[in-house]
Amino acid sequence: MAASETKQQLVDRYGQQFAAHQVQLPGDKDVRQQAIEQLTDSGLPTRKTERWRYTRLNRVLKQDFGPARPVANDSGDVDQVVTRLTEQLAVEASALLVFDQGSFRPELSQLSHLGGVEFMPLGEALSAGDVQLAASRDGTARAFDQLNTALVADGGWLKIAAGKQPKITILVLAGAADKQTNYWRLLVEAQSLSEVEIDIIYLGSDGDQAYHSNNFLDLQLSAGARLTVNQLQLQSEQAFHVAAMQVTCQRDSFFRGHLLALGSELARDDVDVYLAEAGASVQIDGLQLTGGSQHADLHLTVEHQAPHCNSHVTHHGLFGDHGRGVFNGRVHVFEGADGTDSEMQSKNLLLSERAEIDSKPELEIYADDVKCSHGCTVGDLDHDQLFYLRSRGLAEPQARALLLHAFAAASFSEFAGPWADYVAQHVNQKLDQLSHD
Amino acid sequence: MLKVNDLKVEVNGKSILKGLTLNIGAGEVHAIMGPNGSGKSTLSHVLSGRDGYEVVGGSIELDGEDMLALSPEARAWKGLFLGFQYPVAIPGLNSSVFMREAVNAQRRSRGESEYDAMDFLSISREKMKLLDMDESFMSRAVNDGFSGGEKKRNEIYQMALLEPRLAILDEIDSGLDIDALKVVSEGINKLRSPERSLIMVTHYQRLLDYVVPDFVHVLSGGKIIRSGGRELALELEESGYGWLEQDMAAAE
Repeated sequence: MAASETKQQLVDRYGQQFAAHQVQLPGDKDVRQQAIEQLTDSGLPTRKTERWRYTRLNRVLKQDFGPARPVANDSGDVDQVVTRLTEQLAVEASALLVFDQGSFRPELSQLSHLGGVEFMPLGEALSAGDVQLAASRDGTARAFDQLNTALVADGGWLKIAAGKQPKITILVLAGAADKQTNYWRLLVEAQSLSEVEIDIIYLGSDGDQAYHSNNFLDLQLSAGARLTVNQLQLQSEQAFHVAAMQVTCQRDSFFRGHLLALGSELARDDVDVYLAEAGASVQIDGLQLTGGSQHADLHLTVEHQAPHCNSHVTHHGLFGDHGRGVFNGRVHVFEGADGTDSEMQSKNLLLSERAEIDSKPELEIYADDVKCSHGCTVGDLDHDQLFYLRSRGLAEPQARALLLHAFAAASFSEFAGPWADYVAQHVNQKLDQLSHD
Repeated sequence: MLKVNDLKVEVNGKSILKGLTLNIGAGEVHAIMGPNGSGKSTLSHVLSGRDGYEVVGGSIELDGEDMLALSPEARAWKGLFLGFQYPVAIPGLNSSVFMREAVNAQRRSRGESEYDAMDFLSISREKMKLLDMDESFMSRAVNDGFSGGEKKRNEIYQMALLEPRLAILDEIDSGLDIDALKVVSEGINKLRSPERSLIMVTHYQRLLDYVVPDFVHVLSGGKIIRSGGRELALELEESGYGWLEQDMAAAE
């Protein structure tokens, strides 16, 4: 009872924040008004909300996160972080977009290497009426999307022109956020026959700050477009991270996604891919690494709405100490979506007896001529692999360590160069921590 | 060098090897042939120390040292190598990293200095030439997405790098077409030396046309029932394994 009262108070508080800020919020007011009404009507998820069954919000919501505060442009810490990352990622001569507590920081970004990509800070684009916020989906399960739609003030808008465009790196920094909520939203319009790769790093500050990072990605692929989005979530270990990704794929387009979740006290990703026209395909690799009392939840849905579409989802989870993971993968094949080829795998390793994974791949098929498979494994390291390594002379502890790293690294084997090194460094650091907990 | 004496092995309470005796001298090449289910793979696995096999009698000694007490890695350090019938894929583990770690682990065990990345690269290039392998192979994950032929070549390449004193090749010929078999066999022949012994476990005599053994043993019902020279393999090819069953029936 106390918990639901808290949630009701929180919803009321969000309503008050909206009332107080709505005048300053950029863009069309109606869609925001509708979103806050959706939230007020259905409230925040509880244990009875099916999509939130395995993820309790109480422990993070009791942190009592306040609204986003105006970002000071003179915070030296963020400058240093960006300088360091720019070197590590070797993006001195590449397109770099930096956001601090949700707000675009032009002076830290590099906009001169965008090639055929048009960029505008979302706040500006909304104010100018160049883009609109999409209406939020209904229901308690989508409460945090609704919150984002109602209150987001800034983020990025990218329009990708046809042809192969240079890689873009996006840093979403928590900066000085403490006990506050950061809203961020990215809109990508990948035009017909465009091709681009976007790396996104969600980075917490070095301190142990508690904050709520609320992110929404709206990715639209026109006919023949190829879009790659690589997300690396490195929020502070006290953070509550929420990211919704909505991907719409038109004819013959291809979406490639990597979702690597390493940080946060509680992380929730919702990915919805709509294969809306024939020949569209999607391939997603996910990785969850949790230890301590961390909890990571990925809900991923692929909607096969048209014939001859492919979807391949592979999710890896590694959980140590009291770490928990949730993977809910759903493939929904519509009537008439013949020639669908879909595969979904969830592979999990539990490194401690107290660690837990709740994995649920689901298939819902209403077409006849389809090829769909799904599978789930939970356990210890593969005995055949372990024996193979030991037979070559690797002592058991070393063989185990190599296999753990290999298990995680399989999720991002396509990465190359400094980006691959950066990701591997964080993954290895995290794995060492999990193995020693 | 290797002495297997009256070896008895059970798997899940079922008797598989029922008193197997085998002596292998330095530099010798032995072929072990037998029908499916005769215990060929069990022998390979027990020699290399795999879990899941219960040795209920007999002994395995390498240069007088009891091998049964040793872990798989410790056996590898003593110079034992198993070429797998079904090499396992390890997505996410780079082939080059894996083999450098393996070679260095063995060097450490012998008190030798470890190879750095550059040393290892030049050595591995040299060994790859033996097997006509493309260098791109080193940047791939271990056996991940490899064809049947590539996997078997990879096994022999690993053997070339690890330079074992005794190599057990478990059905290294299975699943290979003639061209791939030739490449693999040539690789094996290049690795033959007076100090290196080989055990080739196979179902078919075809492999023995390319890698000619000094001795041939027929394994059936968990025992070696006949031993001889090269001609025994040819005899088996002509008459098949059918006559074994008659022999066995007569023996029982």
